[in-house]
This record gives sequence, C-alpha cells and structure tokens, in this order.
Amino acid sequence: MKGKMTGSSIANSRMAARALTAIVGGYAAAAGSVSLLARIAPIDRAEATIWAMTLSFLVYAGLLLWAFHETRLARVAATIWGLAFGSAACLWLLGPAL
Amino acid sequence: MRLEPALLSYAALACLALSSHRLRRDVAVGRLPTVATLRAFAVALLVLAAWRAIHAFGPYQGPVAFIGMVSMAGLPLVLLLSRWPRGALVTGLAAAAMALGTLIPA
Amino acid sequence: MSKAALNDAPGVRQSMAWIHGWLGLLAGWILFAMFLTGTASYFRPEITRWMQPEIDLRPVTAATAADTAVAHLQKVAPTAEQWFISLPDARTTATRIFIRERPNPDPNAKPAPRRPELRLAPATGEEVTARDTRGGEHFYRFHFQLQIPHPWGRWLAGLCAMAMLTAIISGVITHKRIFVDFFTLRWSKGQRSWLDAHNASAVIALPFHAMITYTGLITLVAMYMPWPIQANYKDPATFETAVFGAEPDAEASGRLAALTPVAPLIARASKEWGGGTPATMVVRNPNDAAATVTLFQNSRDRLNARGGSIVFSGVDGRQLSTSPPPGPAAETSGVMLGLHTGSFAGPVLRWTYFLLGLAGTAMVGTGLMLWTVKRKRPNAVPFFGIGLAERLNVGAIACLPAGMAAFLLANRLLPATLQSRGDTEVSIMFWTWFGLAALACLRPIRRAWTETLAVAAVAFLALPLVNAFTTDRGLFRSFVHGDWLFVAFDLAMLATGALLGFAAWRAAQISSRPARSRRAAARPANPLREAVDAP
Repeated sequence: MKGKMTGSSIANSRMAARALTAIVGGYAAAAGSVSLLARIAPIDRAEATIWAMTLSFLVYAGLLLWAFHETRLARVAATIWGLAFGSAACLWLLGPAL
Repeated sequence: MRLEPALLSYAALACLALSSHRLRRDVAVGRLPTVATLRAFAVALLVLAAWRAIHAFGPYQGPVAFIGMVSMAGLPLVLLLSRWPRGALVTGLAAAAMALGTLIPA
Repeated sequence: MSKAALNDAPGVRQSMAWIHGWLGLLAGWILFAMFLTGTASYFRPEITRWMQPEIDLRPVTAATAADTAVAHLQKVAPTAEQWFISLPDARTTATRIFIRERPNPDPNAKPAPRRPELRLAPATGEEVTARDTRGGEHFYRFHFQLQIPHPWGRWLAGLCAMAMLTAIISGVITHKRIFVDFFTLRWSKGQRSWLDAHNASAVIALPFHAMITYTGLITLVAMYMPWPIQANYKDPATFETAVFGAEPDAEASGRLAALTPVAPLIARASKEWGGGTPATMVVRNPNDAAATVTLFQNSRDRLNARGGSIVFSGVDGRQLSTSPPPGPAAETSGVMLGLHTGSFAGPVLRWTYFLLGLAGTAMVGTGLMLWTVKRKRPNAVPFFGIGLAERLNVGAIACLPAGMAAFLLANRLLPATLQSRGDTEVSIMFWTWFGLAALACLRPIRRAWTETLAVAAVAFLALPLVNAFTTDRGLFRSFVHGDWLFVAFDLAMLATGALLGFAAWRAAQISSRPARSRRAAARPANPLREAVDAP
C-alpha cells in the first residue's frame, strides 16, 4: 500500500491501474458473478434475480476492499478481471436468456 | 407511551457509560454500583426497551424502532457526558424512572 | 499513520485505514450533501406544505378523495387514455392527478402537449393553485440526482454510496477500539476532538449508517445492477410481470360504457389488504367498455415499501387480477426500500430517522474535518491538496446549509406570480451555496469558517421572521391555532440556526486564539501528555 504514497510516476500509474481494476473491474466482476449465480441458482428465476441484485453491492464492496488491500497488483488484476471475463464467458456459453 | 423505548435505552446506555473506567473516575460519586451490576442493569433495561418497542410498534416496526431509538438515545448522552459527566447519572436515573413510571399502571 | 505504517508490513488495519481515509475524503463532500438533503427529505411532504402556505387542506378518507378526483376528471378529460390519481394521506393532504391523452390517430398531427400534474382539494375535487415551487421534492431529488443531468447524477450518487459502504466496512475493520471508546467526547483538543466526534457519531448510529447506505443503493438497483435481469430474461418486462403482476391490456374497445363507482372498489381492496389503503389509482380507458381500475397499496404501517396491486374492471367492478404475493427476495428488497425511505414511520420514528440522518451528516462532516486537521499538524507529512480540501470543507459543511436556507427564504420573498418561480428558487440555492463558497476563498481559512457559518446561522434564524411577515402563518399564530406543522418547522429552523451559530462561535474562539490552538495542535507530539490523557 504504502509505496504508492511516494508520488513517483511508476507508483502513480500502478495506483491508477489498481483504482481502475478496483472500481471498473470490481463492478464488472460483481455484476458478472451475481448474474451467473442468478442464472444457475436452482430457485425461482425472478427470486434468484432479485437476490443477485440485492447482494451484488456486498460482492462489489468486498472486491473493492480486497483490491486495495492486496499488495500484489498482478494478482489483483488477474483475479478481478478473470472473475469478470470468466463469468461473462460462462453466461455466454449458457446461451441467450429466455 | 411511544418514547418509552428511547428513555429505557438512554438509561441502559448511561449504565454502560458509567461502567467505563474513565467515567467512573470523572463522576466521582461514592458507592457507585459495581461494573458488573451496571452491565446487568444495562442488559435488563435494553431487554425492557426491546419489549416496549415491539409492544408499541408491532413485530415488524418494533425491531426497527428499538435499534433506531438505542442509537438516537446515544447522541444526547455522549454530548452530555462530554460537558457534565455526573449528568449521565442524574438523567439516566430520571429517564429510567419516567419510563418505569409509565409502565407500572399498565 | 504515515511514518509508523511505512515501516510495518501492510497489515489489514493499515490498508483499511488508508482506504477509509481516501475514499472518505474523495466522496465525502458529495456524501455530506447527500446525507444532509436526504435527511431533510424525511419531511418531504411537510416541506412542500410549508413552501405553499396558501394551501391548508384537511385530510379526508381515500374513498372520498377518489370520488372527488374522478368527478373532476370526468369533467375535464372523460376520454383520456389514462388517469393517474395519487390519493392523499395525512401528510400530503392534496390529491394529485395526471392525465395521459389518447394519441392522435393521425400520424402527421403534432403530439398533444404533455399535461402538467394538477393538485386537487380532496374534499371538493377543486383544483388548488398556489405559488410555483419544487418544495421538498427538490431536496429529495437532489440527494440522489445531485442536480446533474440524467443519468450521470444518479451514477455519481451511486459511486459515492459505494464509497460510503466501503468506508463503513473499512472503518469498522480499522478501528475495533471505537466500540469500547465511543462514549468519549473531549472538547477543545484539536485533532483528538474531531476523532472523538467522528467515532461517536459513527458508532452510535452505525446500524443506521450501514442500513441507509446499503438500502440507498437498493433504491436504484435496477439502474445500477440490471445485469442479473439481462442474464435471466430476454425481455425485462417478463421480469417485471413476474414480480409486480401483469399490467392490464391497454387497448380501448371504442364502445362507450359508464365507469363504475370507485369507492366500493377501494373498500374491497382495503378488505383484501387487511385494512391497508390505496396510495395510487390508475384508470385506463375511462368510460370505455374495456376500462380498468388499478389500485396500488400504500406503504404506511408496512416495512415493505412495495405494496400489492389489484386490477378491477372499470365497467362492472369485477376483480380481474392481483399482483403475486412477494417471495422472500422480493420481500427483502421491498423492506430495504421501505427502511430507506421510512415511508412506514409515524411521527416518533420519523423524528428518530431525522436525528439519525443528522448523525450520519455529522459523521461525514467530522470525518472531513479530521482529515484536514490531521494533515495540518506541525509534524504531519505535508500534502499539497490540503488547502483545496479545507476550502471544499467550508463549501460543503457551512455553505450548503446557507444555500438550503436561501432556498426556503426565496420561497417566501420571491413574488408569487414570478415566471418559472420554482426554478428560480432552486437557482438561488445553488448561487448562494457556490457563491458563498467562492467568496469564502478570499478570506483566511479560520475567518472563512466563522463567517460562512454565521451567514448560514443568520439565514436560518431569519426564516421564522420572514415567514411571520410574509404569510399569516407565523410562529405565534400557528401556535394559537394549533398548526403544529408550521410551529415545528419554525422551531426546527430556529434550532438549526442556533446550532450553526454555536458552530460559528466555536470557530471564532479558535481563530481568535491562534497561539493557544497551535500549542494544542502540537500536543500529540509530546508522548508524555498523550499517555497521561488529562481528564
């Protein structure tokens, strides 16, 4: 964490990458994962959809906090963007919605 | 009375505050109940407040009212403690007396 | 945390403290405005009623209000496509109607201008006219749209709410000790005092802060997080139907048929809802053989803000369909919505909500103050943005209340017949807010605090006076007539003015004793004094 407060340009660009991953990637990962859950949960479709929407912000908040806590930026980026694209790919493989 | 839970919560929080080390020193009243007694009082008053909240606001709004009123009661208490620590004792007793007073005829 | 933290391995508490500080700061100014205007919105209909003092209506039953509204609509728009009727309750007092005209069958004809929403006296069905104002609706809209064009205001508000949520979680993780120490509030000790105040306001009302932040996100969840719907439904309307019930068929038959009386429908709906009352009535294709009447339940006395709805035939009053009973998830999200808006709350709980909202505002405000005070300590790591942060603090904490008071003052002082009067009131709020904040930049920071807080205090204290001179509902008369809304409003303004005046006085005390305050600020550098912790 603390290295980013030195103000050098490398630290700044790493911070920017981290913030982008956390805020945009975290949103995408939260949206993708809860959408996937809503799709595959074995309960009523409308109910699953509402649960997913209701809990999505908790997932997003958790991802945001972890993205700034974990020191290894590569790991943060891989996990969050992996979750985002992975869940999107799964949804795509499941085919269009009814 | 609908404000009963707030008064009981206030008294409960005052008990909790009086069980803290710093405040016991500031209040400097001889023969203050022990920390364990005060905590037991606080728990009893909070249970009473929860019961009165559910009684007054029903099973659904009751818990909301209880949590809200415990929080709300803390605000004046903290302000009072910062200026007049002994006031916590006085107003806490007064709040408990008022709330219990409305309970007895009921 | 700066130096010590640099040497440590970045533990959870350090990283959480870092996140808490920065997210809190960056979102803090907007969050302060959202909290303050949102708190005022708990009295949205009351503010509107105060801002239209010429209207003084007595509440009637929902059935009477519906009857008079329908009678009015039969006179002015018997062949409209839809009538929307918002039935009054004890707080809103007026019936609101909105007419949707049938589109002209000729495709080349100009579309009919959109009719404005009208308000009716519920007892008589007569139109009520009053000064043009946005009323409490303005604060309500601002607190999640931020006066920024759609959809950007709502997105920005959502982003700030997410920052708030993460700040709450990271704050709790960082400062476990606050749960022991939250009764402590020490005055006149610089940074220590701001920290105490921040802790106390945060911890005491923590359930409220967490609830209001999360449920705030839920109020706009369909916009912020529509992806689960997209993943599950080809057509979002299918989802809406599954959750809220089917909309009745909108096609008119073209055959005339008298509209059934609505009062019996309300009685039947009320029976079905176990005594609940309708909030809204929608009449589709009135006076047509295919007419329907939909009643939506109001959310008073229920935590779930999403009430059920019943569709009746508009010709013979048969019950055509009912919204499905909510499942656990729908119930949960409806309750979250209700918890946020507090629509169920009676007077006692409403004031509780209001005070807890103020505690939330204080938490954000003291957090912002703490951030700058911490970085102005003599031994603190210098930070180039500190001056900007201080000016923004003045702009948010002192100048926004001044702007809100100016909005209310403008309501009393602008001529009643002024063109686009409601918009002018809103402009005056923003000109006052940002103008005062800009002017304050010309003053040294200590003086800026004193002066802007004093301006805000005077503006609030002036409100009851101006109200007494410009209306016949001044404090004394209201008191004599038992007009408790106006009494409470004036008293609330006086209390707000007094609070701001007290703040201005404190700020003046600090600025008139620069030497002492510098010594006080330097105190944390002395470890002995810190450890002794004088009473």
